[in-house]
Amino acid sequence: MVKRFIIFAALLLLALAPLKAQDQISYQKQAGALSTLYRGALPSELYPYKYNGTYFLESPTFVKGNLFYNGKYYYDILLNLDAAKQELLVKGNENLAPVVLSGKMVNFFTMNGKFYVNLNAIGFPDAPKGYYQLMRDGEKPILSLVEKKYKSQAGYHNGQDIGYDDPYYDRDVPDYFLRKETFYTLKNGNIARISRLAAKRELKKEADHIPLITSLMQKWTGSSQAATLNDSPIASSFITVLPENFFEEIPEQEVDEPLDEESISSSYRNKVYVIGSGNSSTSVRVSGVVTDMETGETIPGVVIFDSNTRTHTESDAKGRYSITLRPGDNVLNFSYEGKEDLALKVELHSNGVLNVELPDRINLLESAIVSAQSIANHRTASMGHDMVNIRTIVKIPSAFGEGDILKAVLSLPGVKSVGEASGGFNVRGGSPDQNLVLFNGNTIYNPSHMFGIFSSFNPDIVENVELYKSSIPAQYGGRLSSVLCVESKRGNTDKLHGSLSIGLLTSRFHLDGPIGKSKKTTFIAGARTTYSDWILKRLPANSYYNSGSAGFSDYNLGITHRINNEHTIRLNGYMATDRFSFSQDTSFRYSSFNVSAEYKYRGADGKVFQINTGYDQYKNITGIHAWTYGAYDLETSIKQVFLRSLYAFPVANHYISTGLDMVGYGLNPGQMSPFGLNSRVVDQKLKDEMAVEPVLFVSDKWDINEKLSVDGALRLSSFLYLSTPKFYAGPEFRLSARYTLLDNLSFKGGFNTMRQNIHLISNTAGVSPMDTWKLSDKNIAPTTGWQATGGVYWTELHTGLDFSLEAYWKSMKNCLDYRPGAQLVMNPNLSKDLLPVFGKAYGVEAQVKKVTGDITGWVSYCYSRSKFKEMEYRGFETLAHGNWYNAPFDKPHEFKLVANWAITHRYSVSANIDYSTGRPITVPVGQYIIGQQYHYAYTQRNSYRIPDYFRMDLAFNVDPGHYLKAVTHSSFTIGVYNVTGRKNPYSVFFKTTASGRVQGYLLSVFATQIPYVSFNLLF
Amino acid sequence: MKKHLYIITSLLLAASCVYPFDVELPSDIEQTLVVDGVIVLGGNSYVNISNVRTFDGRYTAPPSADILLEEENGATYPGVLQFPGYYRLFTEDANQDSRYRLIVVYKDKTYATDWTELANVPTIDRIGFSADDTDVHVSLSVNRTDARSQYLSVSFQEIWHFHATYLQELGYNPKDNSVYFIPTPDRSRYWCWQKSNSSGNTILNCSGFGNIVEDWPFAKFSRSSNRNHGEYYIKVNLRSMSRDEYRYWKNLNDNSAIGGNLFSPEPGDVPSNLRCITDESTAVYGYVSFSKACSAIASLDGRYYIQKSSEGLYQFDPEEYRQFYEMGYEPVRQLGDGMGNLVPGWGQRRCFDCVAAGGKLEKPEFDR
Repeated sequence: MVKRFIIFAALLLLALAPLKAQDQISYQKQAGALSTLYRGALPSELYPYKYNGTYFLESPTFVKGNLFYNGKYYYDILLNLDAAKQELLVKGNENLAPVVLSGKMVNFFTMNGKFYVNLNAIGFPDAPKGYYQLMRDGEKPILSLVEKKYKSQAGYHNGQDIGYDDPYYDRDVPDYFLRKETFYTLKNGNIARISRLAAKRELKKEADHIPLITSLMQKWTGSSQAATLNDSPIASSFITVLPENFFEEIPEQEVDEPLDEESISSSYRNKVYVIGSGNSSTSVRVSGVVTDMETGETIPGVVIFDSNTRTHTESDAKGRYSITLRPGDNVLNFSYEGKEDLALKVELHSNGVLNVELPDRINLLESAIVSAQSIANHRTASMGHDMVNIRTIVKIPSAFGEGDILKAVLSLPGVKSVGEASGGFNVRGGSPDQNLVLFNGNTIYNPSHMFGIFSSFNPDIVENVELYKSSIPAQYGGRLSSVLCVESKRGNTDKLHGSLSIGLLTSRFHLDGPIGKSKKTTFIAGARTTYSDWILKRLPANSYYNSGSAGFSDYNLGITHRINNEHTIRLNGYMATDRFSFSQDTSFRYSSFNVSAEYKYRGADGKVFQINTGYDQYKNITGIHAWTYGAYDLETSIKQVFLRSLYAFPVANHYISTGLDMVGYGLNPGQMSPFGLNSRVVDQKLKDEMAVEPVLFVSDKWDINEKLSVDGALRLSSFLYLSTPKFYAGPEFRLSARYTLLDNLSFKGGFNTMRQNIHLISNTAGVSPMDTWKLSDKNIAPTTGWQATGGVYWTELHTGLDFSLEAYWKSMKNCLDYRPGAQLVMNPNLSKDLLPVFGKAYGVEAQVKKVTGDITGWVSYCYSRSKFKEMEYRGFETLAHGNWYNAPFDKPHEFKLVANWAITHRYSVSANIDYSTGRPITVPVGQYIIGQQYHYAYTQRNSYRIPDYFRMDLAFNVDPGHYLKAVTHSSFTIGVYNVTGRKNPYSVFFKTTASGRVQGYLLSVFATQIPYVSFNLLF
Repeated sequence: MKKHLYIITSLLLAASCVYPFDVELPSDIEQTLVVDGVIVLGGNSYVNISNVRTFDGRYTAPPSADILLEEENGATYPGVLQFPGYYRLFTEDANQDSRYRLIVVYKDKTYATDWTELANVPTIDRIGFSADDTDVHVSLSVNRTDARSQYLSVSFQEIWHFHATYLQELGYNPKDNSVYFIPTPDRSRYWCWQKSNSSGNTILNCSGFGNIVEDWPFAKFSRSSNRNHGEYYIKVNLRSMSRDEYRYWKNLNDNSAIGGNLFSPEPGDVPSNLRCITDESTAVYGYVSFSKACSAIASLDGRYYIQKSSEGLYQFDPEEYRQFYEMGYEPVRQLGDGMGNLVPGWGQRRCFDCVAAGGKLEKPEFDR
């Protein structure tokens, strides 16, 4: 195989080799009299990848200019400057490829009305290589050298990040050419670098009468013809070509103290920022303003941290900061919750200003960013907070290759599920209904498709995912265990983008971009569907399911309108449908529908006002059509409207938030309707349930000093059940504190109380999409609970490793368990089948996280328990004789590893390892005869366990191609789910064998390696 | 639905497998009492006492117990031991409007049900028959008289006339290993009667219907069944069930069907309506139902639906005759051997003897 490849490659090279020579001969023939000029070499290497911007000085278009080359003048020559290689290119005509002129022979040239000089060629051999624009001649000539640097950085922005606007900018292409401009002058016959501001100051002055450069050129040309290269005199008029506001100063009132004006640096990242001049032996002060890159708002509370000295500070209410550092090389890290962490390399010479704009996005691959992210963790009192961005999510291997939000969440410590391909998840010993899942503020009652095989969220739409499992912000509530916030992208402001993905079972599509020319309004839309029916059709003809069908689809639409830097309006819509049916006798359908509108004000003074309202609906319909006379549809649904407001403002070292959270519920617990004309089923409907849940909250983030901060919150929760009036109310307390012992070592503790008034009615181990919801009423009290948490966090700054150890204890009351054989559907006396139980959960979570370098990821181990105990003793029927028994999701030991190895920029390998103790089950231990049949006698509830779970997945990812001429880009993932092929138990069931022996069986769903391929197309 | 979810998940993924799983079992489960009682006022009542069997075969023989049915007004009906573990109660004349409870005294512990009111039983409107390509379906139409008869237990007994597959035309003489013609075939063993009881009870939940439930299919048999040879009678016994009893049986069946998968209810012991009133912590399995009953008989001429089937006959070499005769085979009738010759066709005795096929020559009666 290798030999064949080598032979093929050699033949290919032989075939292609003559092309260059052939091209050069063609040039010379066509160049005619100018052939001497065109004897330069062909460009040695084109940039093969797709990129943003251009490596040319201004644009790829060649323009006519005049040139002094090899002692001769050439006029009206097609010229362009490769500013990355500092090579001057000429073309014989538009149809010919360019050639590179030897730098030793080019003295100067004009292009686009600007004058460029090759200092090396006119007597300044020590000057950095390049063609300098002469901005003004004189005794102190001002020269500008523009260089283009090839960069690769996901998440950068057009314009400010690359230094100029690329009209063909493509946000999905990470490679670009960064424009860097440096100013020089000549002092005592030597070239000297000056700051931008100094250049500005000099250019404001009138030109003197000693045209140094012109004189030097005259020396080389032997005449005064240099001036004739351009119609315009070489003078300060060139300044007019500089970008508008190029020299705009930082407003003085935003700077604490006067700064050396010559030490201003721009705020673009991915380069070394030189601040100040000279060599200060004492400390240096860097000041600036941190703003939101998208809105331009100043951001208070940004942590600014220097990796070398471990000095840190925080931006004030106006986003201003000032930090004292040692001169020399430093790495300044900027971190703020919800914003992308930024690490800037700065070379400090004297006091200076560094303004920074923080984008919304996170980039976990950027080195040193982790340090800032880690430090941010040491600066906040928040605990049990995980944030995963979509780039990390799509790299985590998953069955069938589709980036799965919920599976990514399951890879976090403390998050579990009862089995593979099961909907719902359990956080720190809580049941699945104790997790509030918000998608752009809308509540998603069923976050999975196809019984849990896929999540409900289209990964192309999602921007990031946040999970709060301990310190839940005051504006969230109504659930006992966690809040999962999924935010979608807002749409590209520059131009239309899209993606198309094709997988084994699903395909998806998305489109985003601006609406109108103002670019103030953007949209994002997506759709996803499955074609799983074909698998069913391939089942044996005598299979009961051969004529069945199953599938899902979901749709997203989001519109964002930015009124100005402070006011934003956003509309979101989401719709999902699932269906499956078999042999036309039984069908299942369920759907979600969510819409919301949000208005947000974010003032420069740090004040935030946000209000959002919306409507959520989840509905499921079961069709039982086997018997004509008894055919019926059974429908249940939950609808809710919500209004949430938040007002937050800084006061001294406090940050106060307050608001109202109001939800109105409407539940249809069950409606049985006849199906078909011959059905004799009588239309029946359980009484609708209505309730309102108004909550007032206030919270305070109080930074007592640099080492100690406290977050406190109070929620006044109330719940009014309207159907048969019943009112519940009670306070919820949220308290957490942080003590930073060292800059990279902190301790935290927290205590939360929570209330929950809505319950998922399910007596199955896994969450079924057909499960229904129930409100608290006069018979079912709200579930209440508290959680105490403590943790220690240490960041090893040099390796970027974050170590964390968190322990928690959770106590719950009025959780719901079920009597054996409880009737949960169409039961008007449902509460009689429910068993209120105490719950307790405790555990320790240890995690090591690495987000720097080529290998990133995390590894965690958790020990946790979750148990129930009946609140009322009911004789021998009392579950576990009234003692504590295992919750169905109690899995004590859990080990997780998620790793990504970036072999190159494009190629990476991902691994995912998941181990956990088997879940508890109730098993039959005997049998007895009744009604002429054998039946099982069972153990106490959940007193046995299925075997442990272990799975390893591997994936090889090829990120979007960078080919120059490609109209589209594609990414490709190939992987294997369950590499070891371990037969992980999914469920256990028992059958009586032919010999009369009862035998247990384990069903393993993914009992072998599942290879997958996923192809994504970006355009 | 849960079953569908379970199976379709497995099928969709197409990579599932099933393998054995053994659990360590407790040792004392076989001592637990099991009571299976049906108290039918105006009909047969019985109580069955047994113990739990372990999966490895441990079983304690049915113990003796004292059984007593108490009427609220003081009347009592003791259980009479019929055979080990089986007690009959004579409740034919018991007051149907009273409340009852059952008391079981076993190993010095007393178990009792609560006082229970009997649910009314609806009337049977019709027993219908219909057929599709393969089966004959028997359906039931009932008229519910009040809401308490929302749950019904249906059992049935069948009696039908059938014939053997062949009329025996040949005989075998083992003395000389010869086959001979029977001049007058014996028709007395050609037609027989058969009687069968339904296995267990079929439960009907009428909660989705009005007062009239029409054509509820509760039984079926193959069109090639010998039930279609001639006269066919079915007696349907309808017994009212309380909601608790309905749920008990439903839960019991659910527990026994598929346990332990993600979409099946968490299994667990279904609580009995018996309690050990002398020791609350003592468990007991089983259920005692209290009900009223009614029945109806319907008949069918199965020849309308029959799909003929034949049982194959075998050809043996003469030297094999004795061997197969001793194995229960006998010559039945002549068959072509494919070469233009007629040779004896042999078959099991049940092919020509309906008694050997399980029938009786006398027409049986339905049980009371």
